[in-house]
Amino acid sequence: MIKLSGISKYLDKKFQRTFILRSIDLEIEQGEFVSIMGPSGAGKSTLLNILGFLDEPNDGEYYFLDEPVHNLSERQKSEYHKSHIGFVFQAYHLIDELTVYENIEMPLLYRKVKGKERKSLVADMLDKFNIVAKKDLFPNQLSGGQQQVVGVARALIGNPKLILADEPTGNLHSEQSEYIMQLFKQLNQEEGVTIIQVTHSDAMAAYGNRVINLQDGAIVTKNPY
Amino acid sequence: MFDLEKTIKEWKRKLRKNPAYEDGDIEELESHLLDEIEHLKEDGLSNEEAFLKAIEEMGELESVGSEFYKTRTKKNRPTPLWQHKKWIPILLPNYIKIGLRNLNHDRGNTFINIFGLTTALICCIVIFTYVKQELTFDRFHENSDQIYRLTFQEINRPGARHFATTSPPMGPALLETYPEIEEVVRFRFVDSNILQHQDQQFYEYGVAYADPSFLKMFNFPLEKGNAITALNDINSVILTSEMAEKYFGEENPIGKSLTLDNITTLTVTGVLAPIKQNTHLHFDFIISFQSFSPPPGYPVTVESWGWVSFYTYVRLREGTNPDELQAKFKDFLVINMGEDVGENRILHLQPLSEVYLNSDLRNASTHLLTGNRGYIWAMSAVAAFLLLIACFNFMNLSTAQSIRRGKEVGVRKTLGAQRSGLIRQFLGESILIALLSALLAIIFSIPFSKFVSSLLGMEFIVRLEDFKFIIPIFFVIGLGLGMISGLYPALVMSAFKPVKVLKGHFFNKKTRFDIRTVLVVAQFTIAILLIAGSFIIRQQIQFIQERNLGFEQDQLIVLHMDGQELTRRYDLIRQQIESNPHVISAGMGGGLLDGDNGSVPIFSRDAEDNEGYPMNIYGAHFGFFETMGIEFIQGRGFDESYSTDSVSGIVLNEAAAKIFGWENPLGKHIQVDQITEGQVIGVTKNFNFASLHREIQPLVMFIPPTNMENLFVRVRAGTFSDMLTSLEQTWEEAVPDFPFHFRFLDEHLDEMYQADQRFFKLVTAFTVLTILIACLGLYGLISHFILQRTKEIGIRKVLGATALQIAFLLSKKFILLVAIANFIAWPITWHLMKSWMQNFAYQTDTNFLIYLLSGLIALTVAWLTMSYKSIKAALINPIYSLRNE
Repeated sequence: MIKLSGISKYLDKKFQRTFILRSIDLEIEQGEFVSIMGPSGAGKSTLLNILGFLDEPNDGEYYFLDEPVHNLSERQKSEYHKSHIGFVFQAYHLIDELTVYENIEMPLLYRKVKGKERKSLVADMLDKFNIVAKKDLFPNQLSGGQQQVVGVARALIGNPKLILADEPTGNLHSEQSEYIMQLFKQLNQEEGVTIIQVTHSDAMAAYGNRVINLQDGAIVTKNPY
Repeated sequence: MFDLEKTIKEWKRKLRKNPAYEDGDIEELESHLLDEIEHLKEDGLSNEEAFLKAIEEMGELESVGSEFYKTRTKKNRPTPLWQHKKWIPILLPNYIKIGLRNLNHDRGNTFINIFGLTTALICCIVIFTYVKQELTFDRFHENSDQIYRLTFQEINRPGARHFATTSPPMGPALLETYPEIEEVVRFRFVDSNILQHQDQQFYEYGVAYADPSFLKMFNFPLEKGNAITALNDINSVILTSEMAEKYFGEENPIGKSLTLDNITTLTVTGVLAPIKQNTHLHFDFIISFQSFSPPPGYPVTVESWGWVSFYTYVRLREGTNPDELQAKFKDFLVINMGEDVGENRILHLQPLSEVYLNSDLRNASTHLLTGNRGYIWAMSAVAAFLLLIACFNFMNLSTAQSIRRGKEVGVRKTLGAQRSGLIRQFLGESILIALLSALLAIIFSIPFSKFVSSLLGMEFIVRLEDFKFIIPIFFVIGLGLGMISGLYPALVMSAFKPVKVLKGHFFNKKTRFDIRTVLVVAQFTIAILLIAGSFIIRQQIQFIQERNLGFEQDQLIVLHMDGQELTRRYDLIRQQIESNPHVISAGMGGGLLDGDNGSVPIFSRDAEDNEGYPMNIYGAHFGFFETMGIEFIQGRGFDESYSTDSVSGIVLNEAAAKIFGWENPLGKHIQVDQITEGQVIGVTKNFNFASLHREIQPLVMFIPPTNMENLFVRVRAGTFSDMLTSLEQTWEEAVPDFPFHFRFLDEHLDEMYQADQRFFKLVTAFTVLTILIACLGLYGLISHFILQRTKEIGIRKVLGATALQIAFLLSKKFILLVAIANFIAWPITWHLMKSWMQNFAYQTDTNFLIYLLSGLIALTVAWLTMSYKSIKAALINPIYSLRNE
């Protein structure tokens, strides 16, 4: 599904080139649940952003579903965002002005799903995540864990092939974290959604079936912790 | 054998014949049917049985078809169900929802934006109607683009003038000479007249004489009377409907008589319908031109080519090129007025639409309404400034707000939003606000315009009929405003990189020079400019009003007496008036010292050349100089004890004496055109006999053979009402046959500066508004600024900063910006004010302190605006500001 070869990202500052990622080669198959681990500043988030088309590498090639990403136009990237990729963020990033229901509904608007179908899809999601009672609340009326559940629901409603999660449990306490991870695992196993998450925690990484260790922008085989 | 597939095909073919079904429907029905059959087969039925049962359950084909049709017609959907409606973008409700919730969430900002824009737009509407009114004078006449006024310009000599008037024989001669000219109207005002009907007697100032074609050329419809013949006969008069009511009440005035100046009997031949449109022709009575004769003693007739005192309008035949015609006028002048005039004068055709706004021609403003192009520009500029400031607020606040919206942008982008969609969203929001403001502005403009009109004593009123212009224009403006002020924030916000904004990084922090800074500086530059401007205008007006005119204008009353009687009975009347205990002295004079008195060539045998110098002339009589308090440099004023004074005494002013270059002008010979000649008996200090907009001109004074109608009376200080009653009594004893008509000279002279006064009031009013809007913007901006730095404030406080230090820290940047604005505003103001002051011959010295003061005011107001918020922020307990996250 994903094929990176020689991906590099660096910053040029006067006479010094600081590498964030050093020629990363990586292949991820459909249906994998991958955890990217590594110390702060190892380039985990940058890698995830590149995988999600939010950032561009300075060097290297990236094939998404055999499509060369470096050749995609902004419009095509938007199309992939709409249909193939869902994001889950550490800080949830729900829109404050919208209710739970409306937040979950939003991706469908961009996919131009018609009203009735939207309604039933959102209702399904609310059902699935047990948040029907909260559908009319605004994000600031929810706990962190609940917000993240909404965040996951929003990422899933577009029926993506790939979920990218940047420290999805970073702001949650352990019970909530476990719940979210269970959700991910279930999604991965039952619905075959590919999941790539960035995490600091071995416990969280253990939910996945593969760990990629990053250090100083390069993939290392050994767990650096 | 039953073939299910074949049967279904057959069934489908039948369905296709039914018009109620559309392509999708049949497939839908088919799949439904197949499902149903599958079900039934599971229950143990054969293919055939299952098919028949399923068909039965589905119902009669006809009724199924009509069901389909019904659902369609009920919902009235032009597009099939599986496609979404294209004419409502699916995201629109979402945009509107978010937009409105944001407006509601940030009510402060919303208020500032809508209030600012609405106020600015209201001012624009009011100014717009005013400007429109000023620019469309005299457009209502039929063929108004073919009507021209003749103006007469002198060339090739110093002090050459350009008259809005020509001489009386000019018009008829042109009509005879040039077939291109279809019609000519001569129009002549008289200063004042007494009109009488039975026992009703009034002074009237709006009496004019006009040719019969007047009513044909201009669209002033008659309410009563026959427009074609109304001005044909001698001594016929038409009057406005107000005048008809004043003199005749409910009676029908047609055929009734009015007595003019106690001598001539006029017959009313027409009553004008009320004039609602704007026209520079401002009159109450029009007497047929035939009845006109020069005032007694004037050395001219209606055949005098040199008597340049008549407004002459011509209407050209359709398709005539005015420039070509004007080029032919040179020969015309040579033939009729001689080689010399032909060489040194130009006869112009001034389009009717330009007459009102060209007030700088000589004689243009006597009796006619004139506008001022400069003020129209100034007002438009002020309106534009206001709009600009309101737009800047909008841009500033929207970008400041973008921090809150940044996350939304990031999320939307990860969900597949494109930049263009985001731009549309944010632009839409600002257009919504702008349109809302436009709507509010339109609603409030009528009451506001009434308020402004009453405040300024000017016609500013927005009328309902103006709205057919205003509404479309303002929706376009609203749209434009929304675009202009929304575009920048939309571009900025839509460009946010989701990676960055979702991590909380907004702007590149290194750039200190952001557009908000520029906009704040621009706003305050405009505010300071207006503050300083209004101060300077005020100072100049005060300076003008308090200026020593060269005579004592206080305690001076002018008594008016029409016709020849005052001149004839002068000695007696003066004696009686002076016997009143309130009166110090009295003296007869010509005009009211409020403008040009007409100028004529002045010759002297004692001059180096015998070329005539054009100089103003003024009639004065015994006692005039003493009463006015005009000082003499040399010689004396007119005196009864010298028998020659009334025949050949000439008094010059300093400027006139200077033109002749005489060291000792006394006794020198002076010839005043063909009016009189004599010897100089005195030279006065220069005094202002016209508006201070102009330099004091050379003036020649003598006791004229014509009549004078004003008696200047110097009274003692005291209670005015007592003095007036007493004076009126004396008057009635002295001249029982004339009404007592008085004016205070100082009040009368102040009227010359009315336009300046209004301008001052307007500028002041708009200055206040500008500051208000700018400060509101600043308030909003600092609120955001503080919100952004809440954490920093908390940390600083924890580290021991005092509240005062923090308040200073917060407002420091903005205070600096206002200070910068000062340095930009000062030179611009200086330059603008310098050009405004060119309007005045006498200019006040503008002190640098005025600029400093305006800057200080702006700073103080800005600081006060910010101090509330910043002190409040500085006093917050750091526990709260550091708590979040």
